[in-house]
Amino acid sequence: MSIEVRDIKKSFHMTKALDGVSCSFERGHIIGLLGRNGAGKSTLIKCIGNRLYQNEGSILLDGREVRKSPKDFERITIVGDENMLPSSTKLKNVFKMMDDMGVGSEEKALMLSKKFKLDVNKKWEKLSTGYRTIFKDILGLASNREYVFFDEPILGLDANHRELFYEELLASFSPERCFVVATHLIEEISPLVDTVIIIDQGKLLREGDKDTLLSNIRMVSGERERVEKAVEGMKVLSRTTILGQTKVMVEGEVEEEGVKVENVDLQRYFVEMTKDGE
Amino acid sequence: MKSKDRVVIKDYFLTVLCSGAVAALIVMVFIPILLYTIGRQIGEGIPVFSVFFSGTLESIAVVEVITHIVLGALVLQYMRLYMFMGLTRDRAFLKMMLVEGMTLILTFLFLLVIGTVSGLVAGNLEFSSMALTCLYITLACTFMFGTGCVSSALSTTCRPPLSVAVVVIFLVFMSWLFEKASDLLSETFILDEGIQVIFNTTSFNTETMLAFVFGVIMTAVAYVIYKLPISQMKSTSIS
Repeated sequence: MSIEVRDIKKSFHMTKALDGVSCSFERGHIIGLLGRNGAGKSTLIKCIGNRLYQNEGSILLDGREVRKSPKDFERITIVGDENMLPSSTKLKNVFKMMDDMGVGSEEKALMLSKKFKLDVNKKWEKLSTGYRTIFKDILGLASNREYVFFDEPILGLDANHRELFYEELLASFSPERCFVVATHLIEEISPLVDTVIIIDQGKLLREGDKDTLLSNIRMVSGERERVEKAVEGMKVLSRTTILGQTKVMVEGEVEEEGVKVENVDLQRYFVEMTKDGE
Repeated sequence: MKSKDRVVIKDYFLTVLCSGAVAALIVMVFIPILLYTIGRQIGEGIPVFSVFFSGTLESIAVVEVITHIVLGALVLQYMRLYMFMGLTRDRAFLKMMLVEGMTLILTFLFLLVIGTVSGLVAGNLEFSSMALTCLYITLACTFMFGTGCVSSALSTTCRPPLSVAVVVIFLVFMSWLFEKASDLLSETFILDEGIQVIFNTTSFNTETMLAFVFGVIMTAVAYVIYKLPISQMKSTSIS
């Protein structure tokens, strides 16, 4: 039970937005789709959501091509960063339509609107940036579909609204569902996600269980010679040297004395993995 | 019974009814009162009230026809909404065609009501002739809808200003084609001695029929454009 992305390639004129990305989104997980600005996260989501056609590759849901299977497409909700609503439509009407078409619950959407203090009598075009994000988040949270993709769901939200979104995200989650949160703001989203997919410059860097991924990663720092000796033969993920002090991120256990060995959190791991020129 | 599409249908219906109502208010209320007042001020003979209502239907029809361009252009936005609701592009497009079909019927009925009212007030109501006029106008609306629809579809293939240029070139080409087709339909061809092919027909408004056919063709072209790999139903940013 998963969405499988197989070797997706997508170019915009000379820009390669996605360059052979393969990954999967399995039910029962909250997945962090992480990447820097312009990494290709939104493009990947738009390809899954049929907003864009990929140049190559395929997107399968339970082994069937999503684009050719309307029934399977109905199992997915994409809350994208694009303006997907007619500007003159009142928000409450969109909730109503959502209910009519069996996408989600109008009641839940209205309840969430109250919590987020969103005026549902307003039209989309009258909303501020923050409230546009809130509205889209509510659409995703009120959806009853198996696979829900949130593209930059905390863009422009204040701290209180972000907290509320995280709470509601966890409350809406169930083992039969898969939530995908695409963002470049790692620190806050880190405690929520159990699986990560890291994309950089249109390519897949890492995919897997967050804890397993981080359990084997260490940051080793100290005098250059000692650090180099400590990490000899290990897989080096990143290396920084300033004033004779070296910091190296490696995969595996480090037992050398005289160097500082630390665990790495998701944000640090992400930053080191996606550094320019590395 | 609740229709799944009631929100979109409501939006489309309201657009047609509101624009028609505003036009009716101007043509049937505001202008007669204005002329009546001016007539009194300058001491001229005040025209009979019924005079104002002759030609009302045609004036309101112009507004309705223009409204259908806007509705055509809105197809893209509502397709996005349908796609959010879990419909594939194909199904979203077909849903919009269904909604527009219903809107055309509403337009016809609305014009029929306006035509009947204005005909009764003007005292020159010929129902069958008026109904036929309403049908012609509705068919012309299809042409305008097709124009709006294909324009919004073309805008998904490239970014502005190139998309604007593509739309303009396409519409100019279609206008040229329309003109040529109109000329063709009014010509008489002599194939052989004694054999003539006469396209010209007086029993039905050929230009209106042609407008309808072109409207359908342009809508079909819009569908094909949405199927093209370069068609992007998204905002212009890459992130």
